[in-house]
Amino acid sequence: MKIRALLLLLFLISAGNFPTSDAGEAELARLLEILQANGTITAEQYRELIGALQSAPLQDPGPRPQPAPRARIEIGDDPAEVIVSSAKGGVEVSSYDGESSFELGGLVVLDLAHFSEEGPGDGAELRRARLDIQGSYLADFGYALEVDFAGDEVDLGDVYLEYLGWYPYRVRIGQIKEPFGLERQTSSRYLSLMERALPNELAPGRSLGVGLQRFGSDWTLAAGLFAQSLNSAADDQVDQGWGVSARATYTPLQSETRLLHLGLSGAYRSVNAGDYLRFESRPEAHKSEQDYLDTGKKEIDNAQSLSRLGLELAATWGALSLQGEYIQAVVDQRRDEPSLNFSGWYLQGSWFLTGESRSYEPQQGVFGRIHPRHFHGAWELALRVSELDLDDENISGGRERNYTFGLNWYLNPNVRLMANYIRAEFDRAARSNGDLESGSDLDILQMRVQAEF
Amino acid sequence: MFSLALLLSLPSLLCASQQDPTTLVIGKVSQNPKKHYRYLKPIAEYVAERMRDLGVRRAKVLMAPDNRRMIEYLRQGRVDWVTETVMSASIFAEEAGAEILLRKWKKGVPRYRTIFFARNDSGIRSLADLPGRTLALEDDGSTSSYYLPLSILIGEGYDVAPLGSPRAQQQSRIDYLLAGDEINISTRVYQGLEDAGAFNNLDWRKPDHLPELFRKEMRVIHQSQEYPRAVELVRGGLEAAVRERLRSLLLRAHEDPDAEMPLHSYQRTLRFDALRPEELESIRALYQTVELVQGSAR
Repeated sequence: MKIRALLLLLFLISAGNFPTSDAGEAELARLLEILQANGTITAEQYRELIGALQSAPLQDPGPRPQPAPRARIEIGDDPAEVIVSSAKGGVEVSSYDGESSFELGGLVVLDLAHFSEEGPGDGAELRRARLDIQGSYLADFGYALEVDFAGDEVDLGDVYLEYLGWYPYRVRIGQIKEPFGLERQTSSRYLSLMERALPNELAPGRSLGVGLQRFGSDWTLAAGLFAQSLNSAADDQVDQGWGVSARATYTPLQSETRLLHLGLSGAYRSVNAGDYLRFESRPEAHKSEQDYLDTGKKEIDNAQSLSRLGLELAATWGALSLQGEYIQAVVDQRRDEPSLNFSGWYLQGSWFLTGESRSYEPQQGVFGRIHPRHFHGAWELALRVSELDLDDENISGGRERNYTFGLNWYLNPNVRLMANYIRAEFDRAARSNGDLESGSDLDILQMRVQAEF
Repeated sequence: MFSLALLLSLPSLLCASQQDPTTLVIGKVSQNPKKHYRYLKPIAEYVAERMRDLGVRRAKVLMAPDNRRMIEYLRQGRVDWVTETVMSASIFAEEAGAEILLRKWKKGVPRYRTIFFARNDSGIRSLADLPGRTLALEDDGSTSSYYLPLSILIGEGYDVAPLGSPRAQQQSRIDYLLAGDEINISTRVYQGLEDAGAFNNLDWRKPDHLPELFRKEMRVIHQSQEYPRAVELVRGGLEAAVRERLRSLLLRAHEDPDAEMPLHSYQRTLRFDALRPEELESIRALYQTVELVQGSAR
């Protein structure tokens, strides 16, 4: 009985059915020594078994490990093992089964501005000082928290939980961007000019709600149901009440250096009786202390609903890109008062002198991060014409047209320097809002340092 | 009797298999598990859903930090299915007993080749002009921009060594530098920091890897034979019914509307197809170059 069992063991070893790891072989050898010592097997049997065990060659360990990222720690030896990296400048921790991750990053933006008039206020400001936390857990759940410490108050950006288990659908609940507009959906980190164009004042921003997204190989669709924003100030009275927003995009042409993007957005907000609506806009310079366009604090006091429409077009051809949007907002009023129509548009072109193409994120339908091709970074020229008209019926919010010239230097994917020159032209109402002399327009020179980690 | 029971049971305990027949595990060597999890999970779930009659209930993803760890996972049965390029595939086939199942048309491409290139004004027209010169490669995990070019040079009888190696002082040797990524390779060659570079023919056509401005100044001095762009492997002990169902599902996936998004997520795979015997043999033959290439790095 013993001999047959031992022969079976011998057979199994010699047939190579035991993986010949160092640890396993050592343990078997020790066991055979014990068995011989207590007389279970003879010395001859011991020699036979040891010989069979040692004749199964150890496998080579394989090629050298791949290069590690900048910072890396490995802990443990099972699927719960994590990798810690700082490859993107922040800190990312991820389990090796990919089901859990945590990422800490941030953004610092410093602006300088000079205005040709005294009113707006020359100087510097910390435009953004943001901490971003995002991650995933239980395989299909994600979360994000953005906190901005610039300015007098702490502002919240994206604050949400999301579910990714219904691929390619994604559900988010919390404070999220209402799906509307190309420039509004694109992160400020990746815009070609320092501030979004004038008509974005008409687009909804971030609000509390629930959103559903779905993407295909060349399209995206997003929709959501929303309440107000967590950051609502007393005079921020546009995105209140409840509302719905939706955005669809289509890219009939899409490659690394060619793109044709079409987009359509719609939004509807119900306005509570007694609430005021107010549209106001700085001249594409956040440092400005003047809102030259302003419908007034209480002038739109009879709104029943707010409907918005957005059209998008963007194209890239190698280093060249073109982008434009048209946004219209219609305020329906109570008591048979006429509707108010406000609208705006912009057209923008950019050219990478160093040959890069604007990066596109097809699952979101937005532009993304630039990766310079050269050691000396990437250089981009940008031009934009934008207009916003807040005059209608009895509302004299003003009309403004801006011409912007921009120069960007992307030192690396995380750091860039920007310079913008803006020529802002106003109608009488806008000049009045900003206390500008009749016939005068505004020249603005602003610069930015942006660092992301 | 106790000793005998211990003797017979100990090997099972020592090489404890992680095989769970109700879970299909797909794996990849990765330094970015979070990103690759999103690539792999949809296709794994697509396949697992169509294996319920074989007892498969769910799909899981498991990444390994390097080839060595993936070999352990394959031997231990922790991973059933791996996607890789041909060099790592040859290592897994040889050292972990993995079976190369199918070719993957990764990013729509079935095969590729390594190309060597140099500036037009460098005087370098063929591999024979490289001794005494420097060569830019990507990193030591790259098939087309490390293993293949070095194996070609070693196979042609040239002596290669990493730049900075004490051995790299002789005029007859070809010194190589690991530049990190393709744009660094092309930039260094364009700027004359290195005399030549090597990556694959797809990189040659990508402006982000070789800008048009650079390509005008470069010439191709040598090309390798073609290899499959990527392959799918399964572990050696995978149940035959599961293996054959996986093969069948992947071969037909490009015809199934339900597979469109999983394939798109799976590194924009266009389709899978079978490898010809000579292609399989060429992949297995690559393993012979592994030790030669690794020896050159010491």
